[in-house]
Amino acid sequence: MKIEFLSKKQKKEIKKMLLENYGIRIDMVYNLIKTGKNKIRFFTGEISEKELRMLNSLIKIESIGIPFLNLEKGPRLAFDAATLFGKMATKNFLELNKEQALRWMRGESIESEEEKERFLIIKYKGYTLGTGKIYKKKLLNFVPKERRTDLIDS
Amino acid sequence: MKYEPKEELKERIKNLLWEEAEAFWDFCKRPLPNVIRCNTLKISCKDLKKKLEEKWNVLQPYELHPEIMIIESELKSGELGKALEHQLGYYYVQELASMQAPIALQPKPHEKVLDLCAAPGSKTTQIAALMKNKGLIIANDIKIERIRALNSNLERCGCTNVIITKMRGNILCKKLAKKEFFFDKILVDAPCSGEGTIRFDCSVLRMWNLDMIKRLSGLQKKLLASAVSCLKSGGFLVYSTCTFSPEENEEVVQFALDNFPLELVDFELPLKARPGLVEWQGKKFSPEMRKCKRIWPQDNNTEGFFIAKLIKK
Ligand SMILES: C[S@@+](CC[C@H](N)C(=O)[O-])C[C@H]1O[C@@H](n2cnc3c(N)ncnc32)[C@H](O)[C@@H]1O
Repeated sequence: MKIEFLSKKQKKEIKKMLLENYGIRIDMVYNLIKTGKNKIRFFTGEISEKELRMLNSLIKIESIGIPFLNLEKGPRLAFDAATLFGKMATKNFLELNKEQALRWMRGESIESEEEKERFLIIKYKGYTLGTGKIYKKKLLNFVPKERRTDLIDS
Repeated sequence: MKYEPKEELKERIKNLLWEEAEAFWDFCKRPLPNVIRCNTLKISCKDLKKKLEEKWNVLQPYELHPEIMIIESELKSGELGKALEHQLGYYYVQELASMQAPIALQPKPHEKVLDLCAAPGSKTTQIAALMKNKGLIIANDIKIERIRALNSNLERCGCTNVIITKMRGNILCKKLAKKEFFFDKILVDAPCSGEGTIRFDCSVLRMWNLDMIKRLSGLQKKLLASAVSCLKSGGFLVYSTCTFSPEENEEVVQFALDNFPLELVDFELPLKARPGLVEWQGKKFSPEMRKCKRIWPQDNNTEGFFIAKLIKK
């Protein structure tokens, strides 16, 4: 697969965006890796870029780290990254009630009073349920099929 | 059970367990307990327990391993794998015996670890948690559908220090060794005949035959031998299977001891385990083989497992 480390400058911009948009500061040593046109992955594996390039030419790498940002119409934080880092969010998050959370985890978009088009981190009772986008008085759903469920409370 | 064990298998189990064989077959008919492992990359054991206790009865039977939780409540089919906490990666549904191999390996933050036969990632996710996402894991498998599941599990559990590769294990190791890409720790959780998983899926009884065991034993030796070539000297290797057949266990370990600079080492597990065999059907193994561990279903109410821990001199 195509693997490209983001430059220091690009990484800095993304860090700044996370901090300014959500108040998220990730205090781990990590690399951001571009694997497709708009796809950025988060990787904490301790290996130099040079060694990684050597590996990638030597063996068949299927995947590296986890999905982090989608830059297409974004930047949108990926579901599994939001559930990993989302609890740090101090702004631009939306708390759902139980009925909304149920619908959200089923994959439905939800009506919203908000007007301003933007991405929000979705929360429910201390859980982070990914990210959504406010668009035309709706909260658009991005919960991946595999993560959807009906079972949010017993 | 939907399938009955073949006479040949019954005979072999009898030769391993003698008067206990009956108790073993009885256990095979019982359903497995619902066991989960808290994914400490995403939530503390204390917080997860608190959340789950709102709906289930949760036990933490092992003081040194609070991440191991048994759900005692009656569950609907598929409930564990569909609950919100599962979808958010707070826990992994994993059989108790399977958790023992990473516990034996003891991976640490900042180490370089190879998980040679990794899919669907029960043990890879556990290893990443033990390493606190620091260091490097190469997780390999050959089956693409299983790699998809591995990938999804790693993403769900937030395992960020992993590179997934898709190759025959022995070829991967040869290539890595040639480039002097060596590991501190290696797990070879080998493909096996699965005699230990009868409680989970008794269809293994239908597939079971001696030819398959012989063929697998050959593959296991090949995988183990190649893994040794990319292990650092002083590094540790855990070889594990979920089967009882000595041809896939002690015989494979004996082959490795005979051909490579390896020694068996002692290790502790939270489960009751029995020593490896020193003899099978007239074939003698090294007395050191007692350091291996055999986990039998009837001893801890689990599936069956075999674990050997080796150090490279
Ligand atoms: C016992 S399972 C691994 C379970 C896994 N370690 C876990 O804990 O979830 C054995 C795996 O070995 C893989 N396998 C079979 N032949 C292989 C080979 N030659 N090289 C690498 N992996 C192989 C199978 O696809 C299978 O996923």
